[in-house]
Amino acid sequence: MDVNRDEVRRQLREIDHESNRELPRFREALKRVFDRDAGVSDDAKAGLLGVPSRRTFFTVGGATVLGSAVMVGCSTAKKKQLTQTGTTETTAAVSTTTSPGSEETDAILLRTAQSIERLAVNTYATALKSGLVTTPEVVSALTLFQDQHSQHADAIASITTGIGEKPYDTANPFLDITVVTPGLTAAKDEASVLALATVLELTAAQTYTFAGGTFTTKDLREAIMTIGPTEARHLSLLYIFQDLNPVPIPFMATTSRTPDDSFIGPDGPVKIPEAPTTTTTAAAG
Amino acid sequence: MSMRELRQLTERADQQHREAMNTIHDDLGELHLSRQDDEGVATRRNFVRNLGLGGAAVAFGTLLVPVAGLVPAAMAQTASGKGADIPEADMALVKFAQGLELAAAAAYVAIVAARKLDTPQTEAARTFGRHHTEHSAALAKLIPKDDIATQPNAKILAVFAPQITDATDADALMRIAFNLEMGAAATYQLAMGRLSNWQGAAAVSTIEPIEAQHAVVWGNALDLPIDQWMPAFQSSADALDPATYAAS
Repeated sequence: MDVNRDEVRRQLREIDHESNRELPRFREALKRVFDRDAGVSDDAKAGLLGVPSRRTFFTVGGATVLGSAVMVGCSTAKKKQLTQTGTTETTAAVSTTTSPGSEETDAILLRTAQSIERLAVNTYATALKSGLVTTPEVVSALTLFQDQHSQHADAIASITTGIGEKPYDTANPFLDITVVTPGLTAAKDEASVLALATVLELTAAQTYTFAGGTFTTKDLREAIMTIGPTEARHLSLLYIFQDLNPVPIPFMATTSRTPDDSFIGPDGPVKIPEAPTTTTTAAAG
Repeated sequence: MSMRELRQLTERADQQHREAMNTIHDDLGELHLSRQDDEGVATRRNFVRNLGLGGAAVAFGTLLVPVAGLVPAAMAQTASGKGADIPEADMALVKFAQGLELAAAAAYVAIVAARKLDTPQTEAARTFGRHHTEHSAALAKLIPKDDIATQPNAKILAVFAPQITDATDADALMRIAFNLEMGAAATYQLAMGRLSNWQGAAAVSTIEPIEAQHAVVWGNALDLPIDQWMPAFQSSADALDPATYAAS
């Protein structure tokens, strides 16, 4: 395995630089222009973000993709979305099939996705500080993953706001309590950190695939799948670090998506389990 | 919203996913990635190979699952062969994607046939080629029987075939494979923004991440800068636009 450390660091610096340059611009744009009452046209909004049109957002790299993901939500900002159900054609292939999702599940999945991203950021931060990860290439990769998850969380927050819902900018408590905290507590070496990271990335990747087939609008589906493939890429690199098959199956499954108990509803987490307790047996005598 | 309502919503979504997308992906996922699959993981470990470039140690399993046998008969391909009930514009995109997958599979056949890759590289190329064949077969389930492409998209193949012929070494061939996979992932991202019906989007959502994973393997093996194969967001900038490459 060879991940060039200098190159990763250079990329991280570039990402930081780009974020420093672009994110304030997006935030300012959101404040000034994407106010629902501002009456600014979609084309004008696209122009502000430096993209030619709504349909050609994804053209010039990560920063613009982030901008477009923001746009997907904000330029259509309204509490009630129009559900697209495939009945738009009147030709021979008329569809009567409705989407498996709903406006409620749209919001739930967005909040949950953001919470997973925040959990991943925290998990990588803790793992990197633990001293357990010692291979320079792995350190570099996990640092990059941490930064990318942070970007994903910010993008999802903007999308969530854009559909008139409240983002959830906190690490997912269910996964934290049931998976991450026990995993980090038990971690004794780099291999166990990699195993935990694999579980997290697999959960994230499959959750995005699930969302890609569940969201009720194509704008949301498009936006969420700017992120899903990146989690899959993380997963492959983690497999490579562990000498596992980097692409073990020809389709991304959804069986390991985040469980329903981890969902973030309109009122917050649907379930917060009790932290597992450590039972100690007093020594006899 | 009550927990019960929430569960009903998600259960409905899960159920429709499985019914419409068929359970092949989940079956495969469980077969390959289940935590109980220790034996399978151990088997994969036995196939650890070094791609020979950039010191990339990459394992390629030989766990092959007969995909056709896992596809439930009730999948979108109906007995009458009418395909899925999706809008015409979506169907055009699905058909394009199916031809793209056949072209990708054909490109890998040519890459292997060039006999410039070493053994593990060849194994990777064969594995990914099979993945593309399986993607094509899955997409074909959505297409009316009479419209299913049996030949690779000629315009796409025309882009890559001369490059493969002209490739002088393994690096050049892997670079072509990398560009092919990056293009495929970008094309599916483009499709995600155009598919109006969830069924096509659901299918694409299971395939797009895999193309991205293929790109990681080749990008890493070629020792390319990581920003070329590990972007923070998937772009459609390198997409093979259906308007340009539509099969005639």
